[in-house]
Amino acid sequence: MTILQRIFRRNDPGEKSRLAAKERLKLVLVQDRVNLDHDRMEALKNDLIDVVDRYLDIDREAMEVSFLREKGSVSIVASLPVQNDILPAPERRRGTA
Amino acid sequence: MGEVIVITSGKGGVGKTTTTANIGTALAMMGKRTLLIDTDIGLRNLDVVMGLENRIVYHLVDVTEGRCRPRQAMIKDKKLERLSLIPAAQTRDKTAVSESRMKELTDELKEDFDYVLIDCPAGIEQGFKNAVAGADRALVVTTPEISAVRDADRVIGLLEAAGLPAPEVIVNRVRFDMVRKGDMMTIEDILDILAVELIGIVADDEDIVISTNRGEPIVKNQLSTAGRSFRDIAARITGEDIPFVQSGGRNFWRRFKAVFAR
Repeated sequence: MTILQRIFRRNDPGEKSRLAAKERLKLVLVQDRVNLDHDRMEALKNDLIDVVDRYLDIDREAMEVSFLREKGSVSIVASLPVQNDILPAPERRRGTA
Repeated sequence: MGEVIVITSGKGGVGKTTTTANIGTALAMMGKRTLLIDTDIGLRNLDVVMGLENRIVYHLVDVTEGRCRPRQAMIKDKKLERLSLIPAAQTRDKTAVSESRMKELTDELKEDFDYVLIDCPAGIEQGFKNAVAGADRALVVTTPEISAVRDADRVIGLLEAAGLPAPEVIVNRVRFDMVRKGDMMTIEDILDILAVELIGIVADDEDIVISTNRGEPIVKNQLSTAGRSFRDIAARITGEDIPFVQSGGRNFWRRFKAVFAR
């Protein structure tokens, strides 16, 4: 790294620090808003998945759970991507018939 | 009958006292009868920011404990006829006042003023509860930093739980040069996270340090961008619809233009 690069380099050239701040803040506020620590939060997520998983295949890696605060109440917003192939199932059925 | 407005933040050092002093001064400049109450008992500062520290005779705890009437504890501003301050006690602590006593006092005082502004101490303990007890409306001051926004979120939750109408947020000490480079959260980022209404944006302005050194609120300085931002907030408090400006601060050209714009 040249001296000039050192002088002018940002903390992390790949990512704006503003986005890092926003993401970190969102995560920490999830815990603050519902007063759940990290472990209980993970337990809640896993229980949520287990229930839905009885009926559908969930992409565990891509799921997101967040808490929104609105006028004195908190709501849970969960995004659980479903992995089931929609088409093949009936075709499979037809094939065996 | 006036309105009691608490200025709070959770985190210390984000500019509550400066904000209270400036909004109060701006309201008085608009002709509103305005009273400032410093509830930061043990760590009073609104008196020095206002430049009134040499005139203190009685303080808030003298009033709540009945050693003097509220009028006797009010210090009149040096220039603005309609602006007064009740300073905090310096030698007591937050437990010297109770929530019920504060509510009684503010209920009584708002009969005689258009606006009663309460400078809240940092934290969410007794001092915060006292400051909020009699408030009709709350302004939450934050800065574009993770720690300040996090604490603001906590305080907003507490204010809503206390039954106050939705708090309005002031984003203070914004460095627009850093925002442009992507190294500071934007106003939109902060509002998105806090999910509350905005009532003011104040640039990080070194003139604030200078005006505080002198004990003269910056709203009296017509050339300062921060001064203008605080005057805008005061106007919004009275119900005026003033557009938000996202610029200002440490910029030579802006100062240069401001000089010639008048």
